[in-house]
Amino acid sequence: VSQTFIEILRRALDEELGRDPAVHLLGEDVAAGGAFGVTTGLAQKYGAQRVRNTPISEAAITGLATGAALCGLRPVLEIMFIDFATLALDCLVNQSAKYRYMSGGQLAVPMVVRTQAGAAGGAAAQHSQSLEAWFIHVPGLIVVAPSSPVEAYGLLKSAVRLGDPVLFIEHKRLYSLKEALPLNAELPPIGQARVARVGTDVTLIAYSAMVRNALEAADELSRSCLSVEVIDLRTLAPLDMATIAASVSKTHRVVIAHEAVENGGLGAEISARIGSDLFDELDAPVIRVACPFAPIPFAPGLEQALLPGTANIVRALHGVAG
Amino acid sequence: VGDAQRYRSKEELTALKEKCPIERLKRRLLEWGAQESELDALGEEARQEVLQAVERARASPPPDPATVLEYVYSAPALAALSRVKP
Repeated sequence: VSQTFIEILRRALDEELGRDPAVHLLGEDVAAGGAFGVTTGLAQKYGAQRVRNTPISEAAITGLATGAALCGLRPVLEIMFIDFATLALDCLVNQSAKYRYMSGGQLAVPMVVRTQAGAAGGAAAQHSQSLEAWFIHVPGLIVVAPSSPVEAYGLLKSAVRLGDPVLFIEHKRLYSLKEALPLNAELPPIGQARVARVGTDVTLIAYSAMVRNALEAADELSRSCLSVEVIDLRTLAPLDMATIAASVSKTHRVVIAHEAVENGGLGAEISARIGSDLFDELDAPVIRVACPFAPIPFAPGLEQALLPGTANIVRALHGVAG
Repeated sequence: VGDAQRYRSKEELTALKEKCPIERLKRRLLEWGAQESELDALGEEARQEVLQAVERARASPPPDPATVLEYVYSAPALAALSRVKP
């Protein structure tokens, strides 16, 4: 049976609520299903105590979730748009990420902050951003960004069970995507990338919705007899450099693709690490495909002109392959 | 300890101290029939707890610099980190 990204997220949450009474859902309108309908029906099934509507104050509700996690619950908080995580930053950065360290391991914040990011369909500059790089800069936070419904299912369940504060970033462009869940699949571990397509000539590193563009580009290049290996990072912090290193040692050429702006993005960090750890392996400079340095515009024509896509990746792959 | 607040007038500080929530709660509890001695005992208990914590901290050896990267993440997350070298 194929299910959409949203339905599969709901299934993962439903199963975690059923498995562990410590799991609680919190967020604006989550009892009514939330802005995108991910939590529809769960309040009816588990009660208003465990699927709780909160006031529209990201600062307050992130504090609520952090306190609940400190006291032994496993809250899953929904921040409707990652653009609004700005309002939750003090709590996430100064509180949630710090308790384990500042208490010498006596306290833990087993909390998942689900949020939704990226550009699609003219949501404009304040509802389309890809802000993941801010969060990978904070020791203590885990950042996860699934690329498909099946990946989201496993990664969300793993995140709920991990025991650390996890920012779980869903891309709005993936929400209507359908896949069938394989039976009894193992849950993917947090902190481990996935080789989404095996190849020998170029390593193409991507995450979230950009993995789909990466796979399309790899398909296209295969027609020019170029074999592209696609790595889906899955977890952005901590970065799985082992998987990246194994691939780069084989292909000696790297393209990194993300929707976030190039300046100070994930690509900069990965490229720097490849440059220092794998310099002798490289046969070409590491190339980044990312968003030019501008806010995401509302006008569909402008949005399309700005966003990096499959064509940009194809060009970069041709460039790096020489 | 803390900000000496030399940029504020004595009058302003005194007026603000009148609004101290702990003092106001104490006054309210007294109005409601709590005993002064009861509240003093609670305060003393809290003071002793803090003093003992300070004493315990001062008596403890300084932390080992080798542990500086500990307690950033849980054990499962740390396993992922050590696999990828931080």
